[in-house]
Amino acid sequence: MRHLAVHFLLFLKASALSFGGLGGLPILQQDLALRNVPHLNRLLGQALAVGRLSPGPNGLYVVSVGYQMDGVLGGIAGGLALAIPPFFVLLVAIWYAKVAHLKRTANALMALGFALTGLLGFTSWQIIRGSSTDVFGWLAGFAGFVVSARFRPHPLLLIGVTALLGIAIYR
Amino acid sequence: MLEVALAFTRVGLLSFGGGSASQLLMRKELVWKHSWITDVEYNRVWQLSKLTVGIQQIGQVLLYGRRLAGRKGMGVAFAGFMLPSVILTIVMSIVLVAVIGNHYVDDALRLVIPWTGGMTMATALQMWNPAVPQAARQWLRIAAQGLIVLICSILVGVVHVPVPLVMVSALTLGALLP
Repeated sequence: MRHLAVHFLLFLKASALSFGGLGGLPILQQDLALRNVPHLNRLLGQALAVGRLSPGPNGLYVVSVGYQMDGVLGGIAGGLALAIPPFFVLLVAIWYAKVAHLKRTANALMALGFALTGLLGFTSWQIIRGSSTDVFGWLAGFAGFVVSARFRPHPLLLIGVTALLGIAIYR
Repeated sequence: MLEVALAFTRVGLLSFGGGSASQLLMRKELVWKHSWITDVEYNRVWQLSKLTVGIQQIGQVLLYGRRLAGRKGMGVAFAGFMLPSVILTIVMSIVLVAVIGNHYVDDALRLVIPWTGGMTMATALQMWNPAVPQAARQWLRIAAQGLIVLICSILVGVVHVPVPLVMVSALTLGALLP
């Protein structure tokens, strides 16, 4: 139970300090790596795949990470951790009118966007590097990047085709 | 109230494909189908939700729910949007964990995991969304932005600076820009 509470706090921290569904991924990856979670990149990759296949908002990979670490209660903890921080928007709504028009607000959000690109880019690089066992794995990572960036097809289709390719190549 | 709950449940259950699918379905339910709010109101809340922490769509759902039916509306909209998705994600994770070890699944995952890493990297690039430069000056601007992106990666990946510190520094430096 203590592990569950600690993991919930880590999920909550990642969610509360991030902007957007995947924004918390670098924070969570760093925190779980510090705790020597075994096969972390594989676990995160699996969770990202489940999150991509699930309907609903971005960021549900946290629910899958929670389940894989602590079972159903871990999944619920992940869902709760995702659900709590957005209530902050009720406070933001009060003061938004005062700062929305400021150039400094736009500049701050722009700089945060660059930082998130770097952080998320590095985390995804680690997932590709940690899970690619041969040249086909590297090619899959590269293709996933190019196809998603260029064509934006449905993730369900992409993941399904990749899974079939994996079975065909390694059987 | 029931209609509000059902509308957000439909959005939560049918929005396969992430944020853009959610936005389209939410706009369809609230603006086009039920005419509960106008396009302008929808966009204002959308902009506002970008300033909140965590998942922006949840912030949007809270604000739309409150706008439609007060606190109760906020509660049912939130529950309708989140509960089915979270339950489905847990069920899919149960299935995944149950089939890990099967040769076919392991073979599939050998490509699927690096592939999702590539997809996530594409999401990172879309956050930056650099425009194709037309003039030399624009090349300089893109190069400067790329340098910031690279510095943030190095700070976390090589220097092991805590991620929240990098994010807060970026926000602060951005706000200090003239």
